[in-house]
Amino acid sequence: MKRLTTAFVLALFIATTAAASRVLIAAGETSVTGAGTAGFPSGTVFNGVTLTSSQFGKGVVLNPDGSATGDFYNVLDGSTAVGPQTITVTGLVSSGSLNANGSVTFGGNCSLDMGDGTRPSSLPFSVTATSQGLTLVIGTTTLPTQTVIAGGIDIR
Amino acid sequence: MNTNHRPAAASLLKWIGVGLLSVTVVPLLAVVFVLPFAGRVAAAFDYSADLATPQVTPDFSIAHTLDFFFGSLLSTSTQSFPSGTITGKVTGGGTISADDARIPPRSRSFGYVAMGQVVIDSATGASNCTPATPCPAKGHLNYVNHTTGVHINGEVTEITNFQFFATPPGPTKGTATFRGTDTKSGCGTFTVSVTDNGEPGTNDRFGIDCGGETTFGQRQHSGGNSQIHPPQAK
Repeated sequence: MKRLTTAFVLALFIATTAAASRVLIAAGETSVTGAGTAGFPSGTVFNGVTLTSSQFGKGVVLNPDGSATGDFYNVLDGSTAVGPQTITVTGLVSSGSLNANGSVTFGGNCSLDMGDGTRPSSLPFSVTATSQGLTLVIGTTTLPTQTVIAGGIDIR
Repeated sequence: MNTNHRPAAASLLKWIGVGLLSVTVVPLLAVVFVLPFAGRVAAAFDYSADLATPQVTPDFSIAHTLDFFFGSLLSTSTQSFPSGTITGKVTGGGTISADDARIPPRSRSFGYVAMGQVVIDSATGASNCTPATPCPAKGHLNYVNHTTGVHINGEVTEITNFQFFATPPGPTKGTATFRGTDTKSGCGTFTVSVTDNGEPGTNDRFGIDCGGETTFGQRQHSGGNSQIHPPQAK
């Protein structure tokens, strides 16, 4: 009887722990979605490419424990002395959080295609986003904030 | 005679007391203990759920037996799927299209999140969500037609289709359709349909219909990714 009671108490504890954690987690999820175009401040240069505008699409779910899932896509339009050049950043999001000021920061690993014929490279990336724009960090380089021109970014 | 019954009655009362204590105090302790690290606990249970797949029910049919012994040589079924209620989740961000001249590459941008409780059929990977019996969902959609300037923006409220094509231990693939109401362009109810054909997202597909805005069905991404996420416990 004592063993039965111990097993019952243990099972009850595990079941309640699982249910409680699930409820607590579900209550704190933040979704970040965005689509549109944005502009760089004049004089923005990345790896020798002068950037003017961008296009973005993202869908990310942030969990209260700092984990996150989702996708980030950012096409950076610019030019060099030889002509127009388009840089493509395609990222899988694995972590992120809601900041005190209402912005979100998320990141993971991305494929960076410089659009110059070289092979895409894999790098860590992070994005800090508000409803007005996004700041992209590729590897150790922080690009100036891209300000939304068309479309929007929603943090819910 | 009565004296023999007293210990039994006392014992019964004792165990009833222990039982009552268990169902009240233990859940309270569980919640108190789990509060500081709820995320890790939830992740652990998710992980367990993933490891548990595929959950195969005993099948002693001839086809299954042949499949078991001869594998791919006489394969009649390739995969079983998680069964029961799970959190169905799909996310994406990118542009279309790479396969339709009416929609030039990068002329449409999208970003979305949709998730809800779905019941999966272990044999087919399909869910119980249909247009007639949609599953409640939450999430958000942003979509921009850069040619016309139409911006569709709204909360996701229903999943009307969710199906896995493949689940872990291999890559997760599948398709989903979800609905919601646009609050930006006035097109009304939007219906978005996506397909995750694996990583990277070059072969993934995205389609939308809302009022006069249409992509003529699902179109191949010209960039970005759509992800049907691995099954998570409810």
